Amino acid sequence: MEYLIHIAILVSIYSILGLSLNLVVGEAGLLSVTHAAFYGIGAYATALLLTESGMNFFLAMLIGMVITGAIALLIGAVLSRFDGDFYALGSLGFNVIVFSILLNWQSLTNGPLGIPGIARPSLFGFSFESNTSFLTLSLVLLALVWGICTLITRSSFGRVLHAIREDEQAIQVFGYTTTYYKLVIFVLSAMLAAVAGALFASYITFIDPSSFTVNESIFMLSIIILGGLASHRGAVLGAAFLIILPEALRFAGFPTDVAAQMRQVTYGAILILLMLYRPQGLLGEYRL
Amino acid sequence: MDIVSQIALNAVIAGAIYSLVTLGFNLIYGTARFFDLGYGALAATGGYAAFYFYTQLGLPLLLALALAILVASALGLLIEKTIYRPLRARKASGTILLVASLGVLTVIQAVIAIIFSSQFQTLSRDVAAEKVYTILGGAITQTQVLILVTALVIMLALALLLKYTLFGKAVRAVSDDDEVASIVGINTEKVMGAVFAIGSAIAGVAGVAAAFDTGIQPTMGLSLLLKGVIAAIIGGIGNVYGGIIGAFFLAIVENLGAWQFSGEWKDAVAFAVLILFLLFRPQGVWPK
Amino acid sequence: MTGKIWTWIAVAIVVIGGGWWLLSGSSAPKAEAGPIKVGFIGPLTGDAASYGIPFQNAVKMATDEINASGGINGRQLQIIYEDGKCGTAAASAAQKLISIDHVQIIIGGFCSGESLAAEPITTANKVILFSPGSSSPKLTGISKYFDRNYPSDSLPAIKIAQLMTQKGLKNVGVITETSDAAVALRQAFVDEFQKLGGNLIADESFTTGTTDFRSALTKIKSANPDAVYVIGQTPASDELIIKQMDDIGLKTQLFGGFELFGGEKMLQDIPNLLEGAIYMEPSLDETATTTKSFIDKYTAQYKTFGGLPTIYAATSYDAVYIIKDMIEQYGMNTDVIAQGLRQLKDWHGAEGTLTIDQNGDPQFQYAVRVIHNGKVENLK
Repeated sequence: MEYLIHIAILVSIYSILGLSLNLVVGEAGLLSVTHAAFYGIGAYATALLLTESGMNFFLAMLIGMVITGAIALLIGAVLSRFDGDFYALGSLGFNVIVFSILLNWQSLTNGPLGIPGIARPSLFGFSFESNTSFLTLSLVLLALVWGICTLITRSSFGRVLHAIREDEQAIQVFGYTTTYYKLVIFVLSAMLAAVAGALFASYITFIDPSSFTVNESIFMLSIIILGGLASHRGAVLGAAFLIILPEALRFAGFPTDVAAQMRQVTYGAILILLMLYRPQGLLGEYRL
Repeated sequence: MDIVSQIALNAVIAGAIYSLVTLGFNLIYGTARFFDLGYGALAATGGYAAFYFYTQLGLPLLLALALAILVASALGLLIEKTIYRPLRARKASGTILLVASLGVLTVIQAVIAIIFSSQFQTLSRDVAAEKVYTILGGAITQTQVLILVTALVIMLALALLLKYTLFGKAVRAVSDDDEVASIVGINTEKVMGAVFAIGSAIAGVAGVAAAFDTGIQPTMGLSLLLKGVIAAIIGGIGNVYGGIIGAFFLAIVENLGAWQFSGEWKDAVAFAVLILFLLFRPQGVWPK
Repeated sequence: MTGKIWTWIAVAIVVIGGGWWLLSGSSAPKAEAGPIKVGFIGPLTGDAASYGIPFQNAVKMATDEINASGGINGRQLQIIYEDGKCGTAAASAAQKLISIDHVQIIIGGFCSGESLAAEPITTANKVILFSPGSSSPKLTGISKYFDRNYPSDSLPAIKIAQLMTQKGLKNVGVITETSDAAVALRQAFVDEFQKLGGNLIADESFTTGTTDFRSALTKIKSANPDAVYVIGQTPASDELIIKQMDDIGLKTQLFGGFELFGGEKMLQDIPNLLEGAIYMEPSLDETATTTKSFIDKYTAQYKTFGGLPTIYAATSYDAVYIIKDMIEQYGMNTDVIAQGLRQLKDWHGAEGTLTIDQNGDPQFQYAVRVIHNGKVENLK
């Protein structure tokens, strides 16, 4: 049972990441490959605040969200000037830069040594030490993030995003400054990723830069591509699938020395098959 | 003066390898119009095939290299036929092709790791017998000179091919506008196949060059590819000559950066340059 | 529309199938007969797989030997291998091993990051975590259930600093990989070296996976150091660094951060470049009987140590035998085993003689090695 709870917590965290990334990729149609950077900044901000000052987790998470949002503002200001493939490439570049900072600014982040000993959250004296309570917390936060995302996508703001996705130039003709909309959604998406980062840091109680690489961003992208872009349920489904799949493959009985590599083969094959036969993902409406 | 010449030579050596990567990449992007991430894996395939033929089977050097390049080319062609062509037939967007190519990269890397293990392997000739030339106080080895010469030769050959042969004209026609090209009677599918075969062969050469210079690991493809992409953008995406300039420019900036700052920021510097170019000169140094 | 129905059917299959699979594992009764299950967490994929695979091989070899000679108390030993990916994935691996496989002992992690990530879970479940490779100083005394037979990094770095000072090498360059063990080693070295009056005249770092060190090395060369301390965490990094040093004509006294200089691949590929290079390693007497028979058996079965020096495989091999001895002596009560491990004294194995101190760290003698004519020798 503990293992299932552990898996469920990971799925919740990655669902939050999927939902938030979907705001930029699914709703606004911008291929962002830098989400792991904000996941990482949120995680590190929370971790440092928790370990250095013993601050309450929820306060640390909020501050982490603000910090992440501020950095996203800077990055987004540059990225919003690109579109299409260049947006993807530029965002990847920013991910590499943020990762390098997390890795090399050792006086701040402890570099590759990571930050161990991060405390579990506590609220009014109740401590989320047990995995079951942590799962409850994750699900509550997931529901909140889902609610926020639904609010955004159903609002008129969301409709402008869809219009940008379908044909950016057309909507510019109508007088909308699309860069502003792209920037706002990028910052919001980053702040929500920081929530996932805070959860992750506090759950594993140890973080190091290796969890926040470009590969991780690509993984998040795969989650929403698989689940279906612009679909909230798709993000959760994609997260569940891509987290459970490697865990399920542990049981598949591959000879141990190739088992891990076989998982990679399966993962890549899924991407190829998806693109060939169902590019809109499992539950998606919108094709890339 | 010594250190400056050495840094300059280091840049030349790195630039030579990047040029090889960019040449094939630009050729493929120019005609197929998407970022083929699988290209990186083809370079790795070339390197490993050379390792297999030369070190494991003990074939004579030139034969082993020729076979290796053939293997890379054949694999690239196979992927084009089975994955990219059907996708193109369905009018798949560039992003779908990119994600599919990501799947290709993942699968090929994992398969290489299964066959050859994840260990680092070397492909050099006897180190003691390596001749070292000194130019203006900086050192360059014979292997590195050979790599440089190879890069220049291939660049020239490709340029001549594209400019003066009927095939080259067909390639340029397809890359300008493939619908018009097919109306005019050019067999776009055949041209595309040939482009992938040639591009993949060049990837194989790049892989072999990297193998001799720094050795091989299953994960070598992605970083080579990213450098190639950055160089391509700096030089003007799709422009074969521009890519060469981009490659050396990138190498110079990287090595200058390593000289003036510390080496661990090398990746961040490369991507910062990319972002600057995307911001201020997206068409590259030498637009088509 | 039909696409969506198929999708939900697929979802149902995955969820139900997956859940059934997982739950069927977790309701298995704890067997008193049948095989003894021990978990394994190591980097089987990724950059650190060059460590993980020899680790796995050594463990497999030890397990096969133990089972061939009757197992532990008559029961066969079964190792369940999980990939820790040299990082936080080890937490999932530990969770799975504990909840699904019901192991009470885990051999691993190998990377320090794996041990750090898995430890909170193993400690909370009173599961023994025994690492044959994690060297981070942060693991010292981290939990009563965590022990290791591989020493913490700070000691060899301090000794190298002292050795350099003794030899009168005052101006030294360092090149470090930005990975956990390398950075820890560098810090310990720099602190001690500067305390002893040495000058760090060149200090370069590189990210894991870098293959072009030339400009960093050019900087070191231009500072004209008396010696260069090479702290790469993978054999690939070290070998490339030394080759490229030679390419650009940087000739100097070499010191190795980890024991990688003695790895067979390095000695095979670049013996002449390593002439006179000095490094420290936990002293492994390769002529001692247990050690020699281990090396012979391993090379017979797996041909090569994968470019790593024998110590890593030796500690991995020994870890299995240590666990075997603990179980035979104390049964399966992990609290008692935890105490027993801390009292381990003069235990004899492929790594030599092992004593574990009250913090769970092994006490190691260090030998200073030097490479002559492509062979590892002791420095006089």
